[in-house]
Amino acid sequence: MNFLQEFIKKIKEYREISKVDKIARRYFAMNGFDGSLTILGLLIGYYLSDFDNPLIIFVTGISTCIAMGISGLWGAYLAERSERISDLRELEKATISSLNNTKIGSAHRFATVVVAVIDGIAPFITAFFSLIPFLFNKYLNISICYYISFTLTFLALFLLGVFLGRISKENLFISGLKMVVAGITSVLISILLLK
Amino acid sequence: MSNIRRLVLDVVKPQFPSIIDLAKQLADLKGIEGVDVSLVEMDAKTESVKITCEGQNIRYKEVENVISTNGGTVHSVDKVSTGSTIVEEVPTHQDSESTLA
Repeated sequence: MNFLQEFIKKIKEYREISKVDKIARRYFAMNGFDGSLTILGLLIGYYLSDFDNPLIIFVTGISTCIAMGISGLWGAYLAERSERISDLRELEKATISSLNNTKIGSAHRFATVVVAVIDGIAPFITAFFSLIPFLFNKYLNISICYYISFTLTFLALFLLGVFLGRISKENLFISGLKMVVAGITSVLISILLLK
Repeated sequence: MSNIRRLVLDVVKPQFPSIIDLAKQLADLKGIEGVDVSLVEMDAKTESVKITCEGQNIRYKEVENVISTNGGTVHSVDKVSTGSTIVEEVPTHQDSESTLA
């Protein structure tokens, strides 16, 4: 229990020093949005071409989720690490000492990992959420799978909007709707171009 | 060897962790009974603070370690009091600003 309390206290300290919460929330929303819209695009493409093999849809979708996850994780880790090392070096000039083995150094490393993990997980989760109906293709007709999948995607977009609305303390319904509009726009443009 | 009873340090530290956290960590050290941390100056990234510690047996290395773990650097040791009694500095004529013509 003592170890756990110490661990929680340390994490709290690192969060305060690195101000990781703000950046993590931003990355979660941005990349969750990317994940949802990417899968929506994939599904619209399959739907408009009357593709009816749920296994292939699911496998393609999952591969896309994994690629987005790895891309998010890797890219965010390298980008965030570069920025934080640069910030640390600036601070070291002011304090005239190395900050590598200090709480600040540890906090920055912690923040880099947290941001990378969130950047990787966010698109994977939102995209996977949309693909769940295709796991039940034995019990559901392919059209039903598509419709439920579209519904789940728009629900994910709406919930992301609500999440952002809570942060900015704006109307939650309007915030959710703004995200859904992006999804609808994507669908309409696809329909116009492909039909 | 005598014990350090009072220590006054000039320290430069990043703005985070705050002086509240730093003061608490110093006060938790063995041999220290009280800590005062005063902000002297600050800029966009750092703070200059004056740290005063009092106790029965202050271990300087431990104090320095806490400061450096929090990203700070001891610029100077401005005052030390050792022994069984804390002796206050006594003003003398030489300390007076005015001089006789």
